[in-house]
Amino acid sequence: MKFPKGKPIYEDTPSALINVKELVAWIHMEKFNGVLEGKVGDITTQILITDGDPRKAFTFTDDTILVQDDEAIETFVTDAMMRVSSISLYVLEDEIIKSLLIRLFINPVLSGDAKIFDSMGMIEKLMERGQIGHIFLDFNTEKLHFLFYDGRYLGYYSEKDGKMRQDEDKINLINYLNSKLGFLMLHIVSLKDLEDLKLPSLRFGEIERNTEFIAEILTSFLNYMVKTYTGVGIYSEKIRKIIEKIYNEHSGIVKDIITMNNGEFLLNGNPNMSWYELVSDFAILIKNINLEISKLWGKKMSDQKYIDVYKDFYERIKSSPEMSQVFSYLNPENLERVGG
Amino acid sequence: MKDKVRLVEVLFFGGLLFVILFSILPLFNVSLPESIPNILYLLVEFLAFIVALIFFFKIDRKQKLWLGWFFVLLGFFIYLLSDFLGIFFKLENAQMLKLVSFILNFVALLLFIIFISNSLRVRLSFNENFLLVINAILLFVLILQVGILPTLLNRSMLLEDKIINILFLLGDYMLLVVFMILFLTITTHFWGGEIAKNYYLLTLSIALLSISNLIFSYILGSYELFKIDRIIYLGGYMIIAYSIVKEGALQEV
Repeated sequence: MKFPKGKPIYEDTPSALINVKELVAWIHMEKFNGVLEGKVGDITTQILITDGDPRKAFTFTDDTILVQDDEAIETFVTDAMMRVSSISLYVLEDEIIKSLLIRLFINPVLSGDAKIFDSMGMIEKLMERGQIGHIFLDFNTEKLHFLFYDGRYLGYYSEKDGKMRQDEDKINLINYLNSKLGFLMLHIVSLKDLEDLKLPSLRFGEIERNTEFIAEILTSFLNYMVKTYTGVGIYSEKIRKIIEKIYNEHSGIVKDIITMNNGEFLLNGNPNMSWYELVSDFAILIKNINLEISKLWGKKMSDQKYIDVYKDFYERIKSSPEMSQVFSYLNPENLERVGG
Repeated sequence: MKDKVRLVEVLFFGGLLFVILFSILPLFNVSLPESIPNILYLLVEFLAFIVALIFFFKIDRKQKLWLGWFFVLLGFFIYLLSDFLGIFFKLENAQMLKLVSFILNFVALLLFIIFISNSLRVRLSFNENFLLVINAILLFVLILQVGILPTLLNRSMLLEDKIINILFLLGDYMLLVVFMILFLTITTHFWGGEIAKNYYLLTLSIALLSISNLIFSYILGSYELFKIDRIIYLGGYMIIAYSIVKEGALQEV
């Protein structure tokens, strides 16, 4: 196990029972922190997710890494879609996640045979406050990770089983370090430096493609909404102005791909983002428009009009399962929950 | 825009306060020539009309409801004209213009009801309609009792006066009925919205005019005491002007 197992949400569940698209959308929406794991036979894929985005992924057998990152995610998604894998999802604490991230994305301070380093000095340094630490010990037969956060020792895990072990008195830590065996890597970084670190975001492969088509449909939905709202016939000009104002104030990614001209939205950029980001940003824009319009019309009226718009438009796209899934995020009830 | 509306609020409130103050001065044995409160009254009314006119031009002319607001403003103008003719030229028939003003208000409310129901394709539910009919009947009985019957049975009144009186009463009655319909439509569909607030102001002030007309003419026989009727009408029309101001301000984002 490349990553420790945290608190399981589900474990070794056959992928036939899991809607992976929903799962991915949920991970994004909940800004999930943890590890997503897929297993087929003795091949395991682990994806480390922080803030709802995959940061690192490995596909491996016992101790050989087969592929990494995008290719590893591709493997996970393909297996899951073909319903041959079993999927587990573990939540990890923020402190453990951060300690894992520095091992992946920051160069080690020390790296070499364990015997050449002063183990007590290292521990002393790691127990200082305001920094995050990670010791990696490779004994060939076993690979151990010791995690530190803000002057506290969080415990350690072995890549064999991924089980996180508490080691409050540091007995195991000191024993392993004092054995002077194996290869050691030490990562230390201050909390502030970690905050400034820009983490790469990977994509959930196939699931998140097709965004251009989605963007097109969403733009026409937006236009249909504007047309219906202004078509009510009273306060049309004011409503057009409100929508324009909300669009201009909007700061999300939608603004990069659509422009507004004479009260009509035009798609003119290539959506270079995951479909979920796209849909959720559209949802925020629509929610803000509805919110502002409800100040003019009153909540009952604006809710009713949005329901009408949604129902009419849904009739057109309901034959496409992909689109009806996208639109489930825009349905009047879900829209209420968007953006807090 | 908010600042402008705030300024209008202060101006209207101050104006009305002055009119009230000058009207009650005789009660404290302060003798003033009658023309001073009259001129002040007309001035404040004229000011309210001008402000309403300025904001009226901001209302989007492409939307149908504009016509309703036009009738409201026209009604206000006719009322102002009748006051002007009545105070300066002592024209007895100026009172008839007030009837015209009421009719224009009635037409405006009717237009709002038609446009709003047509645009939104909304109809009142059976319960709401039932409520309206019951209220309309009760109101009619009330008006019959306090206004129409006493007028008809009054032997000393000329036939001409009787007809005019009954026309006024029926006008008031119809105005109150359309007020109820519009008020209910707005309440049930635009509850909590900016639009609703404007129409509340408008409908309530028009209803206030109508009700005070009934009260002053048929319930309180003598109300010459510091011309309270005039002040209440002025207040009503100032609220109407204020609703036009709000409507104009609403057009800006």
